[in-house]
Amino acid sequence: MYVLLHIFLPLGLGGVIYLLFNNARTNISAFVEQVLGLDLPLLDTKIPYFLIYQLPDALWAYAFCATFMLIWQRVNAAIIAFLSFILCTFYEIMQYFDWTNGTFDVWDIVVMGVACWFAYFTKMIK
Amino acid sequence: MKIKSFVLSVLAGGLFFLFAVATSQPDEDFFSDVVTLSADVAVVDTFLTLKNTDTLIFSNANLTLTEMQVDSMGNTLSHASYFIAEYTLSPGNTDTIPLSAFKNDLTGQGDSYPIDVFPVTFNIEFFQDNKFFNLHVEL
Repeated sequence: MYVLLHIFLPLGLGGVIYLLFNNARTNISAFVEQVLGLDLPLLDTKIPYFLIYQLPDALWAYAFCATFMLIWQRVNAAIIAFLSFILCTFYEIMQYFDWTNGTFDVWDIVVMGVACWFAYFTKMIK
Repeated sequence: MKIKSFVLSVLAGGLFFLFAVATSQPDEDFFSDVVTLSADVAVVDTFLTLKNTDTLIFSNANLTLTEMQVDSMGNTLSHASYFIAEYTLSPGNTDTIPLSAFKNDLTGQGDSYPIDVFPVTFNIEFFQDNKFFNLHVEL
């Protein structure tokens, strides 16, 4: 249940947002369209920019942090949350230096930090 | 237990990284190497000078040429803006403008006076990177 609720659900939700609302076609949408031959509808978005571009990153970071909290249950959750945030930040830095795909955005780092904190928060109130 | 946790961490980290890459924008030639080069012209704050009754002069960075590269999926790969600081054109004719006429700053200055000769249309042709541009401008 923890895996479903805290890992697969946020990842799936973020993936759906990327697939259906992101104007810039992503690798996965290119795969769906060009390899699987499916025509993805791009839903007209009156949705705020934040929900399309930052929310999926936050959901990804939340699931990332929750996964490591599940694996390292005996380690202080605050340490796991902090290390998860560092790793998420590292991924953004890789984008900044063009070491991987994607666009560097300071706001991505901010929302990832909030997401890691939220993962820690939900762990504490459990 | 720690070894198992480390192995699981590496596996999970790898899967999350793959997911992140999958939801990022593709490289220029990840799925397609078809690149279309297009150009567009926008006129900003136009002032024209009539000179010798048959020649128009652009002044003070009137014209912005925006060059865009897009891949076959519509992703913008790069773009650059140029500004014509000052250039002489003959109305109704096709002129060839050397690239040196395009500047990427707004330093061009010159005497300019707004005149009432609109609309004015003309074409601009030039080559860049072995590609031919033919821009239709209507003021």
